[in-house]
Amino acid sequence: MTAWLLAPLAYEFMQRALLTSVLVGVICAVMGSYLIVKRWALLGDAISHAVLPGVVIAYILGIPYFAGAVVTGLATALGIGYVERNTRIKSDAAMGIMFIGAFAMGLALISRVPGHIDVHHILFGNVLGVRDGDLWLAAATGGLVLAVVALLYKELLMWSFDPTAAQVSGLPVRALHYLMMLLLSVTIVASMQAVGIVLVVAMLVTPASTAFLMTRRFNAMMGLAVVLGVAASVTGLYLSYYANVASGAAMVLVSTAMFMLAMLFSPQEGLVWQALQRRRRAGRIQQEDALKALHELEERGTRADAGALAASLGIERGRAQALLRRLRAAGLVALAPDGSAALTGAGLRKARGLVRTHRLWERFLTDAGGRPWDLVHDEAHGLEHYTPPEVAEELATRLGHPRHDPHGAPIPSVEGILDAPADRPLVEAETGAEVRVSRVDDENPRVLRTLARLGIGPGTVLTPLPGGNGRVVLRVGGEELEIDAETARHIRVEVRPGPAQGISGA
Amino acid sequence: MTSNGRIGAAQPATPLLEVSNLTVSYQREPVLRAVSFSCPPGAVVGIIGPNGAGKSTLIKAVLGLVPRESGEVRVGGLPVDRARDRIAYVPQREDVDWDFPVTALDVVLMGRYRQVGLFRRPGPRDRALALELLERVGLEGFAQARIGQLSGGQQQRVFVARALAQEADLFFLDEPFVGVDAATERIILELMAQLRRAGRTIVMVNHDLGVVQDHCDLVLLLNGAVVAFGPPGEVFRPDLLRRTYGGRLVAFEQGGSRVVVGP
Repeated sequence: MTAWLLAPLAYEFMQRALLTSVLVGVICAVMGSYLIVKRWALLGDAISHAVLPGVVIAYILGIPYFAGAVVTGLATALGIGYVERNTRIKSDAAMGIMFIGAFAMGLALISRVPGHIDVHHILFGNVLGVRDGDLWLAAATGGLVLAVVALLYKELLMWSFDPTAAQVSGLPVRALHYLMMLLLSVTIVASMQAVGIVLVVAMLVTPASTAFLMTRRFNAMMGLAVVLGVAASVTGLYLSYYANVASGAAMVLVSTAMFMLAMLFSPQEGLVWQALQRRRRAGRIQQEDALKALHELEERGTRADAGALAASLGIERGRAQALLRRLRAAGLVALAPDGSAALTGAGLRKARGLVRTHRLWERFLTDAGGRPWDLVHDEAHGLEHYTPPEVAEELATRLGHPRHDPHGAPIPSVEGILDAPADRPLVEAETGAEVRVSRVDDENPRVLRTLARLGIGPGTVLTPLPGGNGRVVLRVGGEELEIDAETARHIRVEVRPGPAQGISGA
Repeated sequence: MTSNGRIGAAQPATPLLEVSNLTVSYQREPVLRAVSFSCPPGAVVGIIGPNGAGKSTLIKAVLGLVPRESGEVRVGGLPVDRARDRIAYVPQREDVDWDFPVTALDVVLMGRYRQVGLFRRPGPRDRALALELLERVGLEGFAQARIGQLSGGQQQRVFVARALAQEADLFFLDEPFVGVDAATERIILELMAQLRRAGRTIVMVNHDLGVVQDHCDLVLLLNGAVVAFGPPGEVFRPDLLRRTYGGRLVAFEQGGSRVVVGP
């Protein structure tokens, strides 16, 4: 490996190429960091294309190419600003007009210049062919960029984050703006030999964007961008040497690959982690719902198995089976050979905890939130999965440790003890005898609205009368009411009236 | 005062901020016409008016952020450009890039940059002051949070802490209570009261007449030009408000009862 890395460096052109790659990696990353936060990426692209005519003009005049390149690059940047300020054209169109115009001017000049200009070299670069002069230019640019950023770091930070406040505090923001534009132009020209003017914008934007995704402070972003930029350009150089790939393209592709990896896997914002987290959360919510469903089946005395679970969660049987196996693996459920399921001690505690949280939220939403009782079941269902136990206990304390939810269902104690009342369905109560409503089923909003309208809720004392034909007749407070059998089925009553609970709801 | 601007109240002390005959135009459309007013030290000044009245433009023109066509702004007797170290500015929330990689502490430290001086970095004393200010706005423990991760109210408090870090005499707040929670509003109002007691002056643009009435010593009614300037008790008059707001309905409290002014 070491030999593989060192062998090429026996050649002088490779030494120059390596140094140039490192320098380009550094300056592009530093300037690129400002480009990202200032949203100057398109401007970088514009300047890089606009250096072409300058290179050609310098060739014609016989002066150093970078002088011509920086002049036309900057002139175009200023021209863009001029068009933007003095016409109704917006900045993106202004850029398109000016930089493609300049670029075309460069191409036109090249086609008319006697002698030979290697267009391909200017457009796409060739780091293996850099000369001493190019290396010195990159080194001088690197020195200039790093010196300016080191000396003016805090002023540039303020200028890029909050130019308005910077101006109010007396910072010469226009001067900083033009200084950065100049540095950007110089950086582009100095990177031209390595990656070419078409690809340089990628070296500016990509490592800095990768670093942007992975950091939360600007100096860290810049530092990481430098590391990534140098790694990309050096890796690209070796790819270019060994695999004979165009150097600029190789460098850009390596940094693009780095960006993809960061986008998918960066610790905080990686899309893969986010997707995994969503899946894990969805899985946890489904397990919690399954525990509650099993608890309810047990409370009703119904056999709990995959079929019953699938029916109450509205999922396929196969998925319910998988869910039961996962719950067994977590030690929350025991499975019998005949396929029936029972909550373990841990499972029961967890289920009761969820029921407690759910019913406390219902109480809170009706009592403190003023929500109608036919809506709170779904609302509490959304909240219960995101409520840590200490928050649930805070709710209980604030509510004065209620013992029943708004629908009359008992709230399990914090230890997980559930006092099930000795009640039975209203439809089974004997006619003529006074009973008290203990609870109403909370999952059918229509029934809850009907009952709220009739003033029937937990604590209501009523007498079932002989009815028939699918109607149930009740005497409530001296009045006779008729309800349909479907509604009646949702009401449970205690034969021996307990203490009043009061009616809540709409 | 040499100008003919309407000054509603007699100014007790030498003015800290003196705006005379300020005119601003956008593309030859006058936005502000001959605005004059002056603020003493130790006052909370509210600028109110309908949308498009030029409230934000007035602040920006006073601060030199938009070009003045004519007129003069003096701070402590000096042209505003020579008194920038005495001024702090809290921008409107929508003017800030919340994705920027800076922490709350970084932002507050920006308030120290001017005192720190060119080519130098903020030192331990600047950091200590910044942390103390974060605590004062109720954000201890958030120093290392990225600014974009904070809630709207918390972000606004960070910017107020930055303004405090500047140790300025004159504070400009542009719509400080838009998009913030009640706790933040209370904290900012309390800080404003403290600054006022310490002899500092706060100029704020606000559209909530109730806040202006309860917390401002002086109110500027603006609608392209100054409609009135003076203590709330003098300028909160139906005729003046009607002239300020034109056809729109405005409501405010007076002597414990609600007054609604319409066209």
